[in-house]
Amino acid sequence: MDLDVADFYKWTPIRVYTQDDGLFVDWCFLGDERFTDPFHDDTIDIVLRKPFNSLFWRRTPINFLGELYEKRRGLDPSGFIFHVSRCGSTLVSQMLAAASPHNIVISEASIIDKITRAETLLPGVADEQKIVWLRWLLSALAPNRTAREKHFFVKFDSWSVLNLQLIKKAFPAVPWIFMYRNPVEVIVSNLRQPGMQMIPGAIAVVFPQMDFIQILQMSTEERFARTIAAFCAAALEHAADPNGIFVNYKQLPGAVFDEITRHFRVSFSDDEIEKMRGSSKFHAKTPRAEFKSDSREKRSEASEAVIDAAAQFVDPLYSRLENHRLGHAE
Amino acid sequence: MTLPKNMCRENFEKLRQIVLENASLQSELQKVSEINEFIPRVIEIGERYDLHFGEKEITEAMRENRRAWIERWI
Repeated sequence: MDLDVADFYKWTPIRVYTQDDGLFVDWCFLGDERFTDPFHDDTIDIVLRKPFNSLFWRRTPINFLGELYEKRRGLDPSGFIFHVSRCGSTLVSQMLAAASPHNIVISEASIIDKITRAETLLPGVADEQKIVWLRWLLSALAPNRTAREKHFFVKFDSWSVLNLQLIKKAFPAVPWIFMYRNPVEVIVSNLRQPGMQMIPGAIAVVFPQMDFIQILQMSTEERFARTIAAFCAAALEHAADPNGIFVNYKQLPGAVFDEITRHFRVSFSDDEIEKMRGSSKFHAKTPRAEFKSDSREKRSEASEAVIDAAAQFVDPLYSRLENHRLGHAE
Repeated sequence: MTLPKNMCRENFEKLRQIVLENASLQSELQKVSEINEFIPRVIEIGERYDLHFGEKEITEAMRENRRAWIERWI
């Protein structure tokens, strides 16, 4: 079947998979929907509930993304958000999405993760190939449909910071931020409801040197702390990059109007800033609940094992992130 | 006359292709928000093209997509 770029107007890529040794992409009709839910896949979940979308998908070889890239390039990314999880990154992405209907914000899209770690689909795939696919995919996720689209932000999964070098190679000009938070608070939040990065063996890149048994032999607190430590260490490797800054949870929401906006080289009108302020009042992942810092509450919930694991594995890295952010000599 | 199961599925796949190549059919079906209205409409469009299949083929295809989406992490 011949594929026509025009047929993909208002369709969005949702899934990649292997078939007959090749990589393929599934697309669903997005229409005029925007990605305003806390996570990209939440929006797709909702879109797929519509009868047409649940039945009619388009299927293309991955190279079709390249054709689309050549013939109908999407927006260039304005900024990337990396994070340790549970540190306000969803609040930031939700504020950026709320600012304007012309901002495209893609948050923790499983399809981006699949391409970033394409070796899980095609063992031995070269980084150069992944870089090309990433460029194609991000372009397809941010089509300039109305010609009024302004900015395009991507919040990656927490473990994607382990692939920061690769992502930077794909998008060398795109400014990025790395968000972090007091490690005890991050561990407590993940103990309440573990993110996928905390599930033993779910994300192989987190502990590349360990087998599954070794991972299971760690206490939960140690595993969580070492996971967060791996993310912080990966970000610190790029501390000298002028394209990146570190942002602490405690700077929110103010940093969005100030450091982050400036770093991403974007500007917002008074009206947009008002909308962002409105959005910042609500809890990012459960928008009906009001957002308030819960640092004290989380710290009071921490067991001795959590405090010890944070101190042993993450605190030194947290201090380095803070020193770098505050311009202190390390 | 009852068509064999595989022929029904084949007919449905042909119809699916026709819809994906026809913007006005897509637009017609995208407007239907209720599943109880949607399924008969798809069957009826199939009949317009002399492609006969039943509700079973449609719900099966929907289930396959759903499963593929749920298993996207695997």
